[in-house]
Amino acid sequence: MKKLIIVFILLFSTDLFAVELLVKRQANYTHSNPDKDRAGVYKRGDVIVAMPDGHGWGIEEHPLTTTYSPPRSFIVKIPGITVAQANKYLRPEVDDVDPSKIKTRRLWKIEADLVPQWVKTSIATTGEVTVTWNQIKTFIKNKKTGDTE
Amino acid sequence: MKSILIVFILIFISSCVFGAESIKIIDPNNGAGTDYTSLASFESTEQADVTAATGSDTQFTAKCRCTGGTADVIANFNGWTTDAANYIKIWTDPAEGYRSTDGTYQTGNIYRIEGDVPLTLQEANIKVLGIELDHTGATTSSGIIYMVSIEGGGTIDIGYCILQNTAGASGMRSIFASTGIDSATTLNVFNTVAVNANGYSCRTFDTDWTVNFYNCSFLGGDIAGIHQNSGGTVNVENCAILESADDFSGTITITKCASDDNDAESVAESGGGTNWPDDFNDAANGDFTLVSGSNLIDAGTDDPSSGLYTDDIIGTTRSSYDIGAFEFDSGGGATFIPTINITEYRLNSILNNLGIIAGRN
Repeated sequence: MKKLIIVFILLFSTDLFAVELLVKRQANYTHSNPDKDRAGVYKRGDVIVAMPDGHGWGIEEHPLTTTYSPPRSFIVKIPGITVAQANKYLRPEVDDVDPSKIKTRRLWKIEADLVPQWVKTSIATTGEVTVTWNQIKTFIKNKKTGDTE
Repeated sequence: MKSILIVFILIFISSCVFGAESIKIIDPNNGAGTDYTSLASFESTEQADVTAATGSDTQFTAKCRCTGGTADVIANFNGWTTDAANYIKIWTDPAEGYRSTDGTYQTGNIYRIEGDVPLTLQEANIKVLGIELDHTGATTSSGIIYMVSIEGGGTIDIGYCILQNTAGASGMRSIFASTGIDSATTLNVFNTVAVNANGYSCRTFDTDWTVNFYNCSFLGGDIAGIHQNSGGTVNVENCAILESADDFSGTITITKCASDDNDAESVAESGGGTNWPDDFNDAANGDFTLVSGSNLIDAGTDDPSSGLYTDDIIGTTRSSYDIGAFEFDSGGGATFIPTINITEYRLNSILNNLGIIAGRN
């Protein structure tokens, strides 16, 4: 019985899993076609990929190892959120009439300029930050509606 | 001494004429030297106006590896600025062992993209070479390689790829050209295998462009094999299209192809039977290697693409071109031998660039 309870606690402990988001630090450039720029070019705060906790990032992905200066991305770790849940932030904004047409590369963005100073400091010094869902959710914004999570 | 001198001269000429590659290593398992752990993060971080590159960075290569058995996640190429000379190459190096060795969909340390619509291309001037792709998601009526809204024209080459739809999602197209593709765009698909699309092996949809299929083997499009919905020019040469509801649908120029519904075929399958057992060793399981005595052997047009490729999906040199993704090898295996040493490999690469010898893609 004791084992069952332990298993139950382990299964439902939200600290057991986490997601690591690779987030765009700034746009690389502006495309000459404004529609293409919006639909294709990653902008500041766009989530690029979502990986499980403990993911080993490549040289050009992690801000402390990249050859690009300034780094082109940073990492946000959120305990209690799964990759499947975070995949929501990888979706584009699509045309209402023709869903095959992408209007904006990412529907959601992390408001990197509005997050608390301690988050900015952590990103600036270590290239990553660990935040709870409650700490970050009000800074995840739907670009179409303007609503936050 | 003389040969060393020649190598240096060729390297110099090659650098002057062709510029250099910007090569980044993609490895989902983050093995030694990995730049990106996903093609998606490569795409985002390297996204650029490639045509504006001055100096050496004119060709952006994603060299894909898989050192620990993990599949890559989906990727979408969009928002770049490219041209014919400054393009993107998504590639497994056949000398490194991360590409399917037998032309069937392999797991383990074979680089592959698995997910819901594995690869979307919204750019021309891209080469996708030696990649496995598996649609494992719930999306229906889309593509395993999905192309849409491509402006400005250019060329897309898809070669040595293996596509499958294990999710069984309905209406999927192994290769799907959707709307909004510039008429100056050309798609070349060669030495590629697609199995059980559960829809179409390929569908071009309201796109006024040019699509060429060379030496492909497509099985089991339960709606159609190659389907031209409307618009555009579709050419199919040296291909085997089998077990589809309609092997060729729409206005298509068919040259030296084999199909099993008497749909403008020029070569009949050998002996008939489901999945052509007298032609392929095990087509139902994606093995399109040819059986000795098959009608498809030596039945194609030689070099139909004027030099785009000179071998088959596993690197066997083509002589008298067979139909399908495999060249019949009476010796029983691929003839490609990995790099002998770095100097010779570099020399071969340079000679290949200069068009002096044909190399592997």
